[in-house]
Amino acid sequence: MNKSFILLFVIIITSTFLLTGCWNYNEVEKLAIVSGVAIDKNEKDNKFELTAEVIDLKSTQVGGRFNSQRIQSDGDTILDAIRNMIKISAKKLYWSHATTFILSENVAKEGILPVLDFIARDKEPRLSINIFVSKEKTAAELLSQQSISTEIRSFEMDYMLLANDSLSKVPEVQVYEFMNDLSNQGISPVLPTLEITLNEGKRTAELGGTAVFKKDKLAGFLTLEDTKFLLFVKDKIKGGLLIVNDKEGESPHVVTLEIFKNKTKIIPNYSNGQLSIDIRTRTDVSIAEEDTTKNYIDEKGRAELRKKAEKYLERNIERVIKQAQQEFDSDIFGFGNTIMRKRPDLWKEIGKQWGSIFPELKINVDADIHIKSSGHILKPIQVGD
Amino acid sequence: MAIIIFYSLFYLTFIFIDLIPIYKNKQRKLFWIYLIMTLFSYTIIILIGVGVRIPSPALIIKDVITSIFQL
Amino acid sequence: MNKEIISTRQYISMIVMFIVGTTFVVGGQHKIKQDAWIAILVALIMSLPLIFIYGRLLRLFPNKNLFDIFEKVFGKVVGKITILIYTFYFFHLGSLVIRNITEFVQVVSFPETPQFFVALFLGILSIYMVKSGTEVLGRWTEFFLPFILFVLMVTILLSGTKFNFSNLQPILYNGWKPVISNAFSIFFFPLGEIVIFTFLFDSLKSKNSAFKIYLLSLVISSAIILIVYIRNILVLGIPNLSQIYFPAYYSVSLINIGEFIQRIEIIISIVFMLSGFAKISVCLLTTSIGVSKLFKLPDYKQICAPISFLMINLSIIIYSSTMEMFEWLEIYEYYALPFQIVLPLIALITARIRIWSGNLKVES
Repeated sequence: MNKSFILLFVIIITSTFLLTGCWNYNEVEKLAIVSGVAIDKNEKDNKFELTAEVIDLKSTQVGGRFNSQRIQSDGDTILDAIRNMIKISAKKLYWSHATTFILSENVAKEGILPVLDFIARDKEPRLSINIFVSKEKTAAELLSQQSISTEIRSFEMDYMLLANDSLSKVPEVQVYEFMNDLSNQGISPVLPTLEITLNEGKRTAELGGTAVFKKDKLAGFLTLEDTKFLLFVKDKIKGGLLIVNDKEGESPHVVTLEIFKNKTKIIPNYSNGQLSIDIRTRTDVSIAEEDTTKNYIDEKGRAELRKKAEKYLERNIERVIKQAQQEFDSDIFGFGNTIMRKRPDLWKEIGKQWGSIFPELKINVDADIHIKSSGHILKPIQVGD
Repeated sequence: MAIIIFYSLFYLTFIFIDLIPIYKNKQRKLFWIYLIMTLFSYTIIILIGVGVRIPSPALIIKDVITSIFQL
Repeated sequence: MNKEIISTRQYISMIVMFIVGTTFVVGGQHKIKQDAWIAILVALIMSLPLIFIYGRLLRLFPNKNLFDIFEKVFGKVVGKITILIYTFYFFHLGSLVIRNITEFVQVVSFPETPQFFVALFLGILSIYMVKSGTEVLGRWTEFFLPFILFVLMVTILLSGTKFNFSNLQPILYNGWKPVISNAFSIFFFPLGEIVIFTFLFDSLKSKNSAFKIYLLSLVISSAIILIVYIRNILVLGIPNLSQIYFPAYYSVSLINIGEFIQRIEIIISIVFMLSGFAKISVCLLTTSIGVSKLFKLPDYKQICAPISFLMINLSIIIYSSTMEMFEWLEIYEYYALPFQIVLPLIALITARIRIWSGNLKVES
């Protein structure tokens, strides 16, 4: 009895000395915590150039404001470039808190698979990372701009996307959603873009619209306004504004409608060998502002405003869809996917030719807008003498 | 190497806890069965630690099954 | 050897933890795609005749486990051979589970920690558990099962915002054939492995029908698997499911509530380890009982340590890569067929024939 106790005791003591190290022990000081990374490609030597934004732990002792540093490196592949960062930073990069990946146009045009492979395969990056495409010449410059709300640029870009609910001008796409859209039949993925603008004379990053992909390669861009209509079709509108221009009548004026909710139904129609898609949107809005004295609030005015807004929405949705059909040749709305889900037998017949069917697809848009309220003002502000 | 060190401690513990009492209780049959199993597995651990590649029975089973069921 | 008694509830907890055990680690949804939920229900129905066979056998020979039944029905020699075969099956199963857990830990958390190290601790703990006896194992699972259920339910609720119901469509896109073949896979792994519990039935204190107990356990386990599979589909989507090794782990990693509740997937690792450990302990227990019957040893607890050594050994050499571990699943259904269906069925038929011809005396 005694002997086995002693032996057990010895083993326990040795274990406590040996096991506190373990094999994969990571000390916080030895890690460089990455918040985001920009990936460029150097055309001349075909190497990936990475700029990682790393959280600077030195500053935490001073004030409480986090600061970030940027580390650059290059390599033949993305993983190679990441490992090469150790040459400069002396710390191994830790990706578990990264929220943002920014790709340059070149990288996106060549194909996004290398980036996706790293995020999916490596265990540190989360599948909820946001990917952006930079509309500037490089992706790296977006990480060196002045930031507005928080010191760490990558987190700020993450917050920008979170606030997009009220803006609805940019698609919110996390990596796992992107991977789904990429691999799924009948749908092409999109990504939000970033560009640089001047704010108080200083350069800062802002959301810029949509990057449209055909399969895994970049095909083109949509502006902020057009992105809104894209989101309408994809039923991803949670808020935002509809600005209705009224150019007819005595003087041109503008009414702004605030969107409360929107539901979009996509219905495939197949008759006489002809395929067409019906898009029906139902939107609840309120009158948020107008720059005119014309009364849109009484019943007659509301009906008129409603017609104008509906036509505005329908026109623009059709326009954006046409652009996707002709300019990008990419089904970013997921019409094919909807057909596959709702009419699987139909999809089995025509699915293989979707590439040639999509550009010629006939679309009918029917917008239905309900004006629910008009803020605190019952009648527009009258202008007397 | 590390595997041999850790597993040696492991085996040693259980020899103390289990085998010695069995020997003292004069349970001959159990003692021999225990000893043979332990020595056999210890040999395998040493072989693994040294680097010898031991073929996996799973592959054999896999071959047998694929040929029986003509997969 | 003292008779060990466990309550029905403990028995059922053991079965549920066992079946749920490594399902989410290696069960994978790689081929099943969006009709997984249909496949599970079909598999549950398919398992009804199976547990009917088990129930019948156990009812014919009350208070005996399947080891004793085999010896009685097939006679000394053939009976012992059957016991030997099953002992190998459980031994192999135990090593597989050890390997599944150590592989999971290495891929997901510690790439550099060698697997033999994790296996070492799993081995030590399961020896401790088996030496403490069936009762302790029953009480342990009875204690931990609610915890595991709670964690699974909470993680499913927290990922609710990421549900995308269109991921379930189109239903039955590829027709019934893939669903049936997938139902077969689920039938053999994990549902059919309930056969291992017929070897522990003599510890059950009450005289309830084995069929009812097994049915309840299978229904509970299938419900759990079903809910988790559906959650995986709703969150990740079909293309991701066929690419990711451990979908349950990844769906939980996407949970991000208010920047505060995030990266909680580690709790899923813990759940996997707990249920995997229960599974290993049960396998070690039945293997030890089988060995003690073969060598006519008085107490299975004394031999469980060297058996565990050998199980760990096997778990180290059995595969040379993660990919091989997943490829094994494809033939597992054929491998398990004799153990889960054929031998018990032959035993039942033989028993019936021998009783009818007066050869066999049965206590009523």
